[in-house]
Amino acid sequence: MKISATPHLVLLLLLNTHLFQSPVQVQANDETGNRVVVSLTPETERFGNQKMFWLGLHMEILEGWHVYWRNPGDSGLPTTIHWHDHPLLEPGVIHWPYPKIFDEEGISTYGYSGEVDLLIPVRVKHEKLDKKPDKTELLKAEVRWLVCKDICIPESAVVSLEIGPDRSFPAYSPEGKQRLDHAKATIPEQTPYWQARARIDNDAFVIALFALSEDAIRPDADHVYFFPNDPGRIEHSLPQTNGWEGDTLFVRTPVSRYLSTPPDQLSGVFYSPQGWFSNQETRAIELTFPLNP
Amino acid sequence: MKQISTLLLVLCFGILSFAHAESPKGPEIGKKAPDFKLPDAHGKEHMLSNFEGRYVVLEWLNHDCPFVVKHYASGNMQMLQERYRDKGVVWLSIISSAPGKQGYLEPEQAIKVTKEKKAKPTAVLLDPEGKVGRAYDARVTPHMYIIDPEGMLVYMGAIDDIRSTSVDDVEGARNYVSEALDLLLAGEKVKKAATQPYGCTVKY
Repeated sequence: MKISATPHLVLLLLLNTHLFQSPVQVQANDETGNRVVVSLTPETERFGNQKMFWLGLHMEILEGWHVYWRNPGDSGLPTTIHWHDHPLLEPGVIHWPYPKIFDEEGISTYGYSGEVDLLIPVRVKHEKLDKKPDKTELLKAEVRWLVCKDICIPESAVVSLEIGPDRSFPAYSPEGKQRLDHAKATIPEQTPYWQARARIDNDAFVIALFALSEDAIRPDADHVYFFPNDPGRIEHSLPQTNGWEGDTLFVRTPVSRYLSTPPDQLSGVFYSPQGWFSNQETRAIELTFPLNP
Repeated sequence: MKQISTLLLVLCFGILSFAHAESPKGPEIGKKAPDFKLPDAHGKEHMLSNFEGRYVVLEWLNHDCPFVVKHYASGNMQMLQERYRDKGVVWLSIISSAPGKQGYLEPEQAIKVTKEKKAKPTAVLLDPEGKVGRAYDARVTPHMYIIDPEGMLVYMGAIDDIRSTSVDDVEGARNYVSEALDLLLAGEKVKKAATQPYGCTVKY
């Protein structure tokens, strides 16, 4: 991977922090030859009382390779999980940690390297809990992802999580729980305390962000980055120009050449390494906002 | 008061000055497509402007890219090439991979692979320096373009609307290229002239 643009390099380094806190040496899986090793990590030792719990799809990615966020950017594909029906558990949609930017030959993509936990909320079907399983059961899923370096390889695996008769997860570990807690902090917060509006001006989206809480801080505009949730909205490889005007933060990002009809609204993740609130913990917020003509 | 002033500012933010967005590179819909001259795998030179009077499809190609494999293993790309060549359309598959990079083919390899894949383009053009790829801002394989008989660009983007590497997704996808060609050949305008392309990066 070649990192071409300096602002992106800075951002890349800033964005890297959450993923490089516990570096792992990953080797290609001997059995499958896969460059990514996937497994399921439960947040809890057993289920039964709670309505839901979190599960992590842990991805250990071979050094130099990366996998993709929900909007992969100019190329690539997001990871997908196809869950098998389970009598007691109902996994929901993936909650994506905020991504990093990968720049290559004038193309920018969004994704993850090193290791990442994609988070999945799991609903416990309390209405079926009376039917006590008489044997160990498995929660199973087929996972597909595209892993890229200078070339891309589609890979897949079947993952399963063993469930004991007392509804325990033998795979539970305090280390796994700690990792999931850390991953949860990287999930963009859906907050009513920041709001946005956007308009198109000179082939660029101009997004105005303003806080509705005294607890909000003024992040350094130069380090803020907007990751749109959907592909085909912005030119991912062009720089975003930001600035404060009074109490409003403006993010200017060029419209994609491939966007035929502008949508009524935009949604996406705003990242700030300094955070968005005085606790400085919320580094990414997810907002949906109108796009006025 | 503070919130009102913020809202006022937001309502007026059109007047604020910002550096203009970088101008988009590459060709633009409704404008003249960049002319080029490239050799095919047999060494014969092809010039875009020589095809004036006919619709021309440009297909960026890398046979080792899983997104390209999807459309060749399913027979989708070959079917499109044959169907539209039969209707008088010129179909040029362009390889912009640099020597040593994925997808690069020496001329004799390109002939062999084209035969093996039963591909039916008008020609496979070799662009190892990536000049034509860059002129068109070809970002991925397959990245598709359609040029009208006057040499104007009328479509650029994805081959279809399902971003995946799975052969199973070909059937049931909305194929933007065939949709555009059918409209154009019927004398109508393209409905969706630009779509977000998907695929592997072009290996310049």
